[in-house]
Amino acid sequence: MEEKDITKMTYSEAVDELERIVAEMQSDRCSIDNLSRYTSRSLELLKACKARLTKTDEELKKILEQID
Amino acid sequence: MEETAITLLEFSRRIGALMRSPQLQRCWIVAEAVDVTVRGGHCYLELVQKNATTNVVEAKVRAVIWANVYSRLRVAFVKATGQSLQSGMKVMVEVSANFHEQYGLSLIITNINPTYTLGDMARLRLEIINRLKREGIIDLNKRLPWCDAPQRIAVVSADSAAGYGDFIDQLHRNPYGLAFYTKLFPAYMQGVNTVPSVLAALRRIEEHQHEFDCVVVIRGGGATAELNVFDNYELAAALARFPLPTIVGIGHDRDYTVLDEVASVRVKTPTAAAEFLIDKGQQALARLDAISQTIADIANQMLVDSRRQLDYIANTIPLAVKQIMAVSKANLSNYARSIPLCAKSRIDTSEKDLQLYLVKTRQAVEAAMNRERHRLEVFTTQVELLSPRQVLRRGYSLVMREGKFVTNASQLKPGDTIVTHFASGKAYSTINDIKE
Repeated sequence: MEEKDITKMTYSEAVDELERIVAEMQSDRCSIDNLSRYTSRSLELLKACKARLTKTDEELKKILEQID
Repeated sequence: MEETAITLLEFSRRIGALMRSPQLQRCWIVAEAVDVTVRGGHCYLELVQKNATTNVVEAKVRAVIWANVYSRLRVAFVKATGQSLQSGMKVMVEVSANFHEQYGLSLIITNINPTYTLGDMARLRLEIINRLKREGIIDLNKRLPWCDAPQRIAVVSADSAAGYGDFIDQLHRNPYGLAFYTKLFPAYMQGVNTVPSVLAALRRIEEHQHEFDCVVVIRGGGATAELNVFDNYELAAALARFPLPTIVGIGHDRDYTVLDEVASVRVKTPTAAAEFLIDKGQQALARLDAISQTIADIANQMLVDSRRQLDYIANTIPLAVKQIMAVSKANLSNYARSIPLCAKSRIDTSEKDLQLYLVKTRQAVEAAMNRERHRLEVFTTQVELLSPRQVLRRGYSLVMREGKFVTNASQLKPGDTIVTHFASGKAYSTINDIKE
């Protein structure tokens, strides 16, 4: 699986990748060798998604303020 | 000139007396019922009449159905119409005018003609809904997908409305720490300017549609009668066709407009609109938590499984070694046992061969001996046949002189003594003459 830069991903893309990781981890293809790669990637994605939901994005705030 | 004045109370009583004129008592009238509320069993409402073309309210009077009457009328009304008396219905009611010194004019309803149910507002609404259905646009907005967590919200509201404040407060003070970005697009939410200003707000939002996840149209309460401005085809069609999902929260429990038919989400109050959005965000957070939990569970399970596999292997190796050792030992024992057996068998075979050779050799030797014996016997017979004794027996005799055989007469001279040997005995003779 190619790893995209999380900062350039939309929330939906990040969640989709998380779901893919879960599916991959639940499949027979996942070996313990991939485990740490999957978990660390998913942690990064989860962190980014949570931040997207709960941390105020000042830049976004500014964009909306500029709409008249 | 000094005026004679009466008190306001007195004047009011006079009005009240006039109200009791038979012309104003027990009259059947048609009007639209709005702001219908039931408190303490009494039904309070307003009766309105609107201009058929402009839809502007032309007459409006408060009315009440006292509890003892209402309990009876309600049953009959629901039975006949399938629904209870509610705002927007055109009604035919029997009314009596009543003027209260403190509360002013109101109409006391004593009867309703339930067959005269659907009023102008409801019919208009139905017509709009039917048109939206005919044009196939009534469900367009409802079919738009919601993003996982709508956070960027375009709000259409009157900026000073209490409902807008409630919405913003509720949204930003959500208990999950969800971040929301709201942008107000102010519009009149009552009066004749409502439709054009809301349409203008929607157009501006559409220009920036990529900056938003959804649109919220809210209005904080107000008189229900004023809600009829929202029963407008252009507004409903614009909302139905809007490219972002919309939430409409423009009234209270009992209020209902065509916008509620076309919006993706219909809520009763601005606060409920905020709650819907918070709930969406909370669901997104819960989904993240669930994913996180699932990943942790899978990872843990994989570690447990791997550990179990290692344990199994660790336990299996000594067993396998033991087994291999046992098998090797058994093989060795087999070899050890089979070597003497093989050797003996080989020796036995060789011994048998040897015996066979011995017998054969003995037989061969015997045969050879017999042959030779036979030959010897033949020779002996032949030799015996040829022996001088046998020759002598056949009548031959042997002459010897001085121990030597005489084979030729020349060997002799007269006077020599010769010995003649016969088969039996010998004779001595003297040579007299020789003839050759």
